[in-house]
Formats: sequence, structure tokens, C-alpha cells
Amino acid sequence: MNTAEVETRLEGLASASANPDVPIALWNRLAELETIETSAATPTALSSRTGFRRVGGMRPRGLLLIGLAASLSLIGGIVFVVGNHSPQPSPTPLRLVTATGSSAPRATPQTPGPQATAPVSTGAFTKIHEFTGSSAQYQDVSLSWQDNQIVGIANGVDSFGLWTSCVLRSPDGIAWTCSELPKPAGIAPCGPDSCFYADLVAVSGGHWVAVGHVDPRLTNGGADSAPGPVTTLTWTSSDGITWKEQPKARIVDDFSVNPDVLRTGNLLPTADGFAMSGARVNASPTTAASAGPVLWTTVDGTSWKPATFRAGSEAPTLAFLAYDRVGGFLATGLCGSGDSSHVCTVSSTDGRTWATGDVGLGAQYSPYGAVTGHGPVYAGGRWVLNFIFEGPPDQYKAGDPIYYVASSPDGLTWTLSPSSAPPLMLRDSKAVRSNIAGLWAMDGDLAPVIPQPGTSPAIEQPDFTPSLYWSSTGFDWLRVVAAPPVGLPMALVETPTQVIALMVIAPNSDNSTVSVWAAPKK
Amino acid sequence: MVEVQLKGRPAAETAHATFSTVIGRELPSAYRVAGYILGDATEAQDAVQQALERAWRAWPNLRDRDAARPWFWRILTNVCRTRLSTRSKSSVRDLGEDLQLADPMDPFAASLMRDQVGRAMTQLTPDQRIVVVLRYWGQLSVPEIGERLGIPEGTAKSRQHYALETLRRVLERDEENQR
Repeated sequence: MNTAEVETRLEGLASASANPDVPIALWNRLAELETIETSAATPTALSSRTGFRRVGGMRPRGLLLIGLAASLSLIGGIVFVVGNHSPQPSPTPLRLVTATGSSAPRATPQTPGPQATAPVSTGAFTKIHEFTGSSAQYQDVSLSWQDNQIVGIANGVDSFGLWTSCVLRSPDGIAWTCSELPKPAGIAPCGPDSCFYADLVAVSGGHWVAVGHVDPRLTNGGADSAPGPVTTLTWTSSDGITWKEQPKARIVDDFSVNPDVLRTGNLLPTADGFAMSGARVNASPTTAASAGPVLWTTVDGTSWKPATFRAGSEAPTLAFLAYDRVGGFLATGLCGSGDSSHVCTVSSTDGRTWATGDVGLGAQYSPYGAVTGHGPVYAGGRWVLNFIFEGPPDQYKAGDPIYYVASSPDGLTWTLSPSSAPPLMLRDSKAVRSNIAGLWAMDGDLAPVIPQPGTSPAIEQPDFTPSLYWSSTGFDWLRVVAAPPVGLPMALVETPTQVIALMVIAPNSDNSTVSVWAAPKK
Repeated sequence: MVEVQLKGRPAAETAHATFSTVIGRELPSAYRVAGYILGDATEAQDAVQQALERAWRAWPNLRDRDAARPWFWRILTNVCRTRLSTRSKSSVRDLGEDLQLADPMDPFAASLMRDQVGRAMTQLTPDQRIVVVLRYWGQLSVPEIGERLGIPEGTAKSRQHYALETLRRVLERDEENQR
């Protein structure tokens, strides 16, 4: 036995280990501290041994909702996002830096984007609804504007403490309905924990499709977890109310290595039905080539097939999918393998046939999202992607740019330029329908990173003050209004007349409270 | 970046909100890491609470709020190290015995006890155990571990090396004993 084997066994043990909920007492203590002066913060009696609340304890996405912001909308090149603001420097002009060293990307001059004109504005957020009962236990919600209504996915626990996932619908943010997604047939009993998890929903032409996943390693709160495949699930509906799981549409283990890295990227209507992307988060460039298709298409959700690529195009091994009514479809990912692995994009005008573009960056640069869910932004007549160095220390050389920004009018030909600072750290991105795109905003896990020669990037932790941002270019972002002054942002959606935010207090606890806030667009 | 509209809030309120949001987002991973360092959920809860209170008291003096995250982690790992050291110095029972005596319903202890390499971790020193948990349960790189612990990267690497060597020897010994 050598130490490499020990490492492998440790990795296996860690990934299969239980991930219990944070005890409510800790959340309470954190909230309690806020109410007292720092000088008066005296220790209280420490905890006594108590039972563990297992519900939701092994959520595949962990606690992503904490501190994160929400999906947003893009209409006519205007992008809203909730994110942090205070430490972000003012946008600086892009400058060309000559590529240095073998690890450096191929840089070409870039024409600066148009400067932002007068920003849109909204009124302040006001509370319009509060979820009660089991609805207050939503632990993860994503929202979008589709089919002239707010639709979304909610995961949480019901009044019996059992895990439940449903499709949310609301015409105005005030009245909500939650249509439960049935438990997948043939799935082994999971006890009180989450045996399946809903991720995305899309509607087009009278067809509703929702996707999620089931992970056998989640059974019994992780205590019985063992390595095994993750299965992507699909539900269909003709009205958004009554749903049926489609066993023939299951895709086994294509998107995930373990629960912490699972990421179903996006689900979008296309000219022929729907397209779905996924990302093998944290996949090594040397192994990503075996990840299999991460771009799938379906007519009605009853079965999926790998997307069709134009002859000569490489299929990416990671993909994040976005849509703009002008820009069409764009997915980012990695092409090639091993040392030749590089960032690429695939684009399509109709979702039927896809072609590959080369961004000109090595795999050590990650789009804000190809790995963790960040997506492309279409604004100002072009796609904009932001990149950050996330490679191993030995691939970083003094003088190498840390940040890059790439833009493209068609998703095929890219203009790349170093960026002195990120315009905004975007956590995630979701696009759902023709003229609406969504972004998940930053959270602390993806704070600006400043690499030093010969070392791994050191993390800078910005203050986190959720805010609504706006951009007409995708390059520079303007702060519009502070997020609702309570809790943490969980989801955000733009309707034709307002921006609606879901805020959560004490997430993942028995005392969780979810409220709905609206800011009128001016 | 231009601020278009900013809702003013008192400075103190802002500071509180920042503490809550910055540190609050660390709670899940902090609890998990503390749980696997200490192998005991109740102790982990106590350790995280202790770290929270220390951090809150020192929060006004933290000039570089951008550094709050690694700063909090240093507090937490120091608390955990103290608890581990106190255990071993008490000479009542060592860490391994602690784990053997742990509540089988304890999710952290149960996860460790059901695996040979998890049981072998009881043979590590507190510093080695902290590095191993941060590396594999916290999924941090060695430089990140150095930053979180406030130690040079080389020291973190060295601790990891000796920890892996110790585990290798323990596992080999166990396998020989089973033959």
C-alpha cells in the first residue's frame, strides 16, 4: 500500500460520509448574536446531546441557497442579478496583456463594449406574501417567467417532515400553487430524507417538462450511502398541475460523480421540444472526456437523446446552456482531454444542430459557471463570458492574467481579452425561455481570487450585501437597489412589470421562513 | 461600478448583517469539518458555537473584512485543536477510545467508524487530523489549508504527508493482523 491509495480511500470515505444539518441551535445563536453588542457577547451554555434532524440533511446541492441570490431576467440586453457590491472596484478599461508561458491563453485585442447608459430602476422591495405551513420549509427554489406566469421548482419538507418537490406557479407573486412531483417508481424507500430532488422546469407549446435527479447515496441521511450512479429524472405534464415521472427518460450517472458535484445545468425549450445541459462539476480535464454527452434533447420529455453536432464539431464534456431570443442557444464547456483540454462553446440558432467555437483559453481558466453553473450572458448584441484562473498552482506563472472576458456575436468566433477585475462574481446562471434568462448571483464560495506565482489562488472574501444589478453590456454592472432587508435571497424573477424576490430566514431549519417581495419596474 | 440607488442603513446594522451573512454561510461547512475533526456531533456543535462567539466579540476589530472567512476558520480550527489536545492530555481515554465509545447514532462517528481508514484516523495527532479533514472533507487544497490554519504551505504539506504515512502504516498493520 502506498500513500496514494490512502488518499483514494480518504476521498471515498469523505464523499460517502454523512452531511448532517447544522443544528438549529447554531442558527439561533448566530441570530442571537446579531441582537447584542459585541462587547456583551458572552458565551451561553453549550449544547446538550440531542437527536439529529435528518430531513434534508443530504441535499445534493448542500446549502447553496445560503447567501446566494437568485435567478434573474434578461430582456433586450438588460440583465438583472442579485449579488454583492461593496468590494467590487469600478469597472476598468480592458487592457491587452501579452500571453506569457505555455499555460497562458491566446489573447487578442478586444473592442470595449458600449458604456452603460441610463440604468433601469425599480422601486424598493415591499413584502407581498409569506409562505406558511410546509411551504415555509422550502429549502431551494428556482423561478422563471414562462408562459405568462411565474413558474419554478421548490424543494423542501412537508408538514410531516418528509421531503417533497413541486412545481410552483403564480400569476403575480401573491397567489401561489405548488403541484407535487410524484415519487419516481421503483426507487428504493429513502426514509425521511430526500430520495429525489427536482432541479428545473420548462414549458413550451403546451408541454411541461421538469427534471431532477435521484441519488442512492442519499438514503437514510447518508448513513447508508455507498457509491452508486446518480440518475437524472424527468417528469411531464400537460397542464403544469398533474405530473408523471417518465421511467424511459431516465439518464443514469451522466451528470454526476458524487452529490456535491452534481449539476444539472439547464433545461430550455427549443424549436423541436427541449434541450438539457449538465455539468460534471470538478471533473478533471484528464477524465472529463469520458463524461459522456452533457447536452441532450427531447421532444416531449418521454425520452432523451444526445444533441446532434454539426460535422467537425467537438462535443464539450462540460456544458452550461443559456438562451437569448436574439443570440440563440449557447453552452460553455471543455473540449479535448488531457493537456489539450480547452474552453469551448457550442451554439445553435434553433436547438436542433450545434456547432463548436473555441474561446482560446486552456482548461485552467474556468468560466464563471462552466464548472459551477455560471452561464453566458447575452447583452449588447453579443455573448459575454467571464473567466477566472482556477488551475493548479504550477500552471500559473507570474504575469499571467487572472481574469479574462470573452465576447462573441454568434457564439462561434470569440474575442478574448484580459480583465483587470471581474465585473461581478456570478454564482450560477439559468436561462429558461425565449426572452428570459436567469442568473444565480454570487456567494462567498466564488469570491474574487488572486493567484500568486507558485501558489494556489488566495481567496478574497467580499462583504455580502445582496443587491439587484443591471447591465446593458454584460461587462459593467450597475447597482440598482438593495435586496429586501430580511433574510437571504433564495430566488429572483423578473416579470414584465416587477422584480420578485424570495427571501429565506433560517434556511434548512424548522423555523425557516420564506417571504415574497416585489419591486416595481420604473 | 456606479451605485444607482442605495438604501441607507445604520453602520452598526450593516456590520451585524455582514457578520451574519459572511459567517452564516460558513456554518454548514464549518459544522461538517468540526464534526469530522472531533468525531462527535455534540462537540462539533459546541466548537462551532464557541468559534461563533469568539468571532463575534472580535468582529469590530477585524479591519480587513475581506479576510473574514479564513479568519473565522482559523478560530474554529484552533477551538477544535484545543478540544482534541485537551482530550489526549486528560489521559482518561484517547481519541480512538473516544470514537469507539461514541454514540452509534452520531452521524460523524458512524461515518468514520464504519470504514477502516476512518478508524485509523484516530491514530493521527490533532494537527494531522485537522489537515486531513480540511483536505478531504473540506475539499481544500494544501495552500488553502495553510491559509485557513495560518501556517505556511510547507507546514500544511508536511502535516498531510506525515498523516498519510501514519494512516498507511496503520492500515497495513491492520491488514496484517487480519491475515
